[in-house]
Amino acid sequence: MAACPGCEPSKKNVGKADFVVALAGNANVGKSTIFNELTGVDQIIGNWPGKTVERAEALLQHKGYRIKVVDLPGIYSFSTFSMEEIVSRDFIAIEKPAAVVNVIDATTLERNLFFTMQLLELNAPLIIALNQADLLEKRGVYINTKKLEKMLGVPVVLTSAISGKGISELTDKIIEVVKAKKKVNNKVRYGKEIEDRIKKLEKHFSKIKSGYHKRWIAIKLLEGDSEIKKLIRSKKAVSMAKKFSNELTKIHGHDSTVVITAERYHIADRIARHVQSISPRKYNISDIIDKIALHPVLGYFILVGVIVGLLVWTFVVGFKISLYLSNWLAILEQLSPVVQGSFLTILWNGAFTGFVAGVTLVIPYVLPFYLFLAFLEDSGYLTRISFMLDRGMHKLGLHGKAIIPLLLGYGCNVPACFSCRVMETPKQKFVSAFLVTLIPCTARTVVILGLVAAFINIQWALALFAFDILLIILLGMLAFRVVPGESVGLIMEMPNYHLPSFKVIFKQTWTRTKSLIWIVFPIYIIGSAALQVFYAAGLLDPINNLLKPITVSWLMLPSVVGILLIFGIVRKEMTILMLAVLFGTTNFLTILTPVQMIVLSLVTMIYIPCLATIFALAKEFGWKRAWLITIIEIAVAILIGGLAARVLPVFF
Amino acid sequence: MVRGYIKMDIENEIPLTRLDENQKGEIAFIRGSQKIVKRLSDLGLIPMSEVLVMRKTMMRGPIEVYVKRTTLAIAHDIAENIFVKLKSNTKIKKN
Ligand SMILES: Nc1nc2c(ncn2[C@@H]2O[C@H](COP(=O)(O)OP(=O)(O)OP(=O)(O)O)[C@@H](O)[C@H]2O)c(=O)[nH]1
Repeated sequence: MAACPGCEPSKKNVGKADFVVALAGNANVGKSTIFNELTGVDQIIGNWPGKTVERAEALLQHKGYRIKVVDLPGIYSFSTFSMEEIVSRDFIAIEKPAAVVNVIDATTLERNLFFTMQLLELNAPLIIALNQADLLEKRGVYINTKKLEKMLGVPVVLTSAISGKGISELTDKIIEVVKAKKKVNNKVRYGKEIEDRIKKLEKHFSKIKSGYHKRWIAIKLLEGDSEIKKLIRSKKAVSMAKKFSNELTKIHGHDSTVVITAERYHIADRIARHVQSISPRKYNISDIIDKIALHPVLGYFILVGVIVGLLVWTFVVGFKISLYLSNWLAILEQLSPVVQGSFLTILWNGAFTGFVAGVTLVIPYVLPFYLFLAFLEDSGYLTRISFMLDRGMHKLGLHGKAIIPLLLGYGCNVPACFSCRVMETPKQKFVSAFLVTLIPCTARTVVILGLVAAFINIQWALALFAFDILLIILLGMLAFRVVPGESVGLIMEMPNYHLPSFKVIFKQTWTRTKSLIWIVFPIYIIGSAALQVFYAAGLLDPINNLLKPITVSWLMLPSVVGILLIFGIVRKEMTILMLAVLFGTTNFLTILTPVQMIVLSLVTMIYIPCLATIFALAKEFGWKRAWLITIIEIAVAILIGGLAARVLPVFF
Repeated sequence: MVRGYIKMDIENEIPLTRLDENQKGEIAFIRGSQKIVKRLSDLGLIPMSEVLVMRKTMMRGPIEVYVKRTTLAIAHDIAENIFVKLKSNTKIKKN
């Protein structure tokens, strides 16, 4: 899925390949599932549109060929309104893969063929994978693939990616198409009034470096595509296109873009009508579940139940695993937090404590969280959550889909930041990423639980979570006002529910956990080794003294917190880990008062996105904005922490 | 903001949000920024295509429609600008 430093499983170094094959198609049709089946790599799969945010590549070896397979993000057309669409069309048109596999959800042929029409316009060497073939019978759909092949002029293969059916036929077809090197011959033609204008336009630009197909450029000009207009140097062609567009608008009474879109759909509909027979839509299981799941009252009870269930499950199961693992590791070697001795002993001891902390603090909690989430994702319920919370999110200038990154954030902020790409406009992407960084990820939750829940009570820990949500709403409303740019409302496909497959869930969980281990473990091990060295070298006191005005005077915490917060930048749970290391005890009551514990947890929760998240933000929005978020959060945390230190004593 | 082409001469065209649940309409035209019009038409909401309102929600929440054999959730604000002609002869609800 997302590219965080070192946790990127999808862009494996592919090496030299004989040729490149791209997977393209609508969102949620099964591209990533086919990709995984083809290459054995684990791409994120889930039952909601828009998971694949970055193109993934991997190698497939078949019959002596080394084939690079590229999984493109799911899109519905090739306009210039979204990054995914531009990236995909440039990849197909300019990098010219030897074959493009158009993955189609066979149960919604019309809508998928609409995209096929556009691939044909691009003159891509197509192969059609009619996926989800296993569902056809259930939905009462029959498709005549031979007829479809004939009408489109491209090979069609029936596949059922989750069971792996049809995949080897697909591979054979790919090689066949690549080997044949036939000239692509797009047979699809639109209405006369459009075709005439395409022809006339085509005459007016000769050679274009871009690599786009001529017919495609003509169509895009008619649609008024601004990117293509920039590419075309012929002023004449552009003004002619404008005139033609206006004429089309006149004839049909709609914008020329709509006219051409409608025309594509007419052809797609016609083809679909010819090749498939459908029994009328029945009331299906999904409708019945939605009667309850989307019920105006009951639905919200279920929603709250599911989310609370997710968190409770995570920490109940997590605590059990954590306990088990730490007992087990304690047998291996007794934890001796601060050691004297040679440099190597110190280093080793630090590294080992770091490793133990990683194993006992992160894995146990992240694992069950991702497991439950994968279940929600694959079932299709995630999109229902978006639907129900849509209205509330409007207040933050966001819409229902933003709930997906926010929920993901409770696991780890890094992939959550990347998944903000499901939002449509730059403003909405940025605001949701900002809010994601305020979500307490498992690492921060461990701090809250390890300090507040363990030593005060669970109510105070829950109060912190509730406060965090309030803060997110508040800052979200503020950000909505302040951040420039446009916001658009929800337009989202609602997939049918399906019974989650265990294979998908386990693979998914493993992929996410694995990528997390990649960032967490090195930083943990290096970080705690470094701290031990710092400590032995007597460097801690100067740093703590430097931060005293904030930590001691304003936040009323012990001065040692200075170094904790510095290390917490690397990983948040370091704050309590280091506390234990420095004082040689895990009974924090001997070190901190209850109020100090709450203040420390609050500050840790808010004060900065961790290092990996800062990198993720910088990658998505540039360093300026990453710093902006960082600085704002430090300021807010210090402010709130100090206020809490003065108000909270009332309760104790 | 760039506006899509607006055609509003025919009388019995009403916003999608005025349909009842389980009522069908035929898309007449869509009002809104080019981006939204484009996105909706890509998803199959093109002139003359049939839509069925599957679910409406309270307090201007999103509505759920069935079009081209797929289900879409659409924000209320956007759905208000999708104009349809009534298909079945049921009465129009007064707002
Ligand atoms: N029944 C059935 N379900 C499938 C099949 N292939 C994929 N799915 C399911 O369809 C859903 C979407 O699959 P993905 O592979 O994530 O889809 P995608 O096209 O990569 O989606 P985006 O990344 O959002 O564009 C998942 O829940 C899969 O389990 C199939 O052949 N049959």
